[in-house]
Amino acid sequence: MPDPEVVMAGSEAEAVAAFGDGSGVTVIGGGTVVTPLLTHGALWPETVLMLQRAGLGGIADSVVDGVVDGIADGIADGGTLEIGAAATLAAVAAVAPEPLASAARIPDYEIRGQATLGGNLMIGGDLQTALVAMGARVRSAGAGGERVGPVAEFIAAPWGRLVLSVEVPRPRAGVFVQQRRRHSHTHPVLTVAVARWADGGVHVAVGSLAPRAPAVACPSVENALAGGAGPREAAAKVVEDVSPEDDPLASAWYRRRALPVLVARALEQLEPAPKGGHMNVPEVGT
Amino acid sequence: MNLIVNGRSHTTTAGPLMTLLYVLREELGLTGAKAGCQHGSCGACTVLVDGEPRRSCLALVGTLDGASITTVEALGEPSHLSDVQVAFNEHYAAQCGFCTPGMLLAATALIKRKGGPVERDEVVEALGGHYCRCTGYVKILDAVVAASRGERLGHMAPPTLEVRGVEP
Repeated sequence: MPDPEVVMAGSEAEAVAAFGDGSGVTVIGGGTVVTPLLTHGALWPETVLMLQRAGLGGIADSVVDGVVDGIADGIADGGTLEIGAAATLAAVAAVAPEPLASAARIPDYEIRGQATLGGNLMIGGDLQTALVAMGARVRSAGAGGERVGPVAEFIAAPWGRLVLSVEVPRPRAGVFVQQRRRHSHTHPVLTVAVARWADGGVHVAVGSLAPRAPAVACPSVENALAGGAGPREAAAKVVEDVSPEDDPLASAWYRRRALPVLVARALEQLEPAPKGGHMNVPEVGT
Repeated sequence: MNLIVNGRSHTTTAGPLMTLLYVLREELGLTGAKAGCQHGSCGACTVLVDGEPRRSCLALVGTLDGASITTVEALGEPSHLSDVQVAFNEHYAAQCGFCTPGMLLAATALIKRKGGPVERDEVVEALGGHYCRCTGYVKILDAVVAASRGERLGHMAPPTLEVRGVEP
């Protein structure tokens, strides 16, 4: 089998051109997931596209000196961050609001200094759940050209797309809760992210429900909260929004039992005094 | 591709999809970086890339042109160990020693970043991606905190080190 062609893109345009419709192309942002696959021969694409010099690592804030997009009183909506696909998780954690900041701090120091936002989205990483709760939008390229759309739609069918950047609205408060076993580098058992907005609305997303399953929004919980339900009463509705599965980490039965508890904890942390922040729940039996 | 490894320029013949770990161990014979899990999970291959700790098994040569690499071989000499190496020795922070090079480099980078004494939870955070299968974590934490404070116990035994490389 011939060696892959290696393309080090020098700009976004070069990256998009080299990616084409994505056929036969493996993209390396940080390479923390793809590199071992290449090293051990589990992946041998026609083309390897490297993004390290494509200028996709920037982070732009729509809020400058308290002014959102030039509208002085627009601070009420919190503004947005435009995060390049090749921004490292360390860079994201340094500037992003909750719940995204805590999600980006999940990997260890060395991995988050190398892993990227775009790669994390493509592999179903910890950031997905936070980004769904925050109503992020993904700008991507691929067949049919450039496209911008909700992150929840993107992660449901990400293949054949090259992530260019992610627009992240800034909520008033956010909480990221994850249950994982006490080993580094294991997949989480359950992930919950909640975000409260200037109008008082709350968005809820959950992830890690099954192997490779994308994070999903929880409209039943959100509607219950909007209708005046308390955190525990609203959290109980989460089972109406999800279809958990069995995997080696936990059974579907366990996930259905534990998820309302985690959602309630996240909502209780969110209100009445929003603190934001990450809560790691100790491992429990499955 | 050109790398600066421990202060010396090296033009690698490895392809862009080979790892830095391969270049260090197989091309340069610098075996301090250990080929542990080779999936980025254990931290035994950690080196400094432009001063930041990175898993060399996850670093592709094609992304490193012009980078400055520091391996454990450049931290100190047997007769003149670095402060972190001295602390590891004094606190018995190495048992089998397989994880030690990665731990030393990550700890060295942490202390340099902080520019002064580090707290125990900061060490846990900085070394969180490093496994010690001998489970000597308490001693390792003790050593890094002590090194950051410039503390010396004074009971290091250099002769233990100097027998290295001597005929068996």
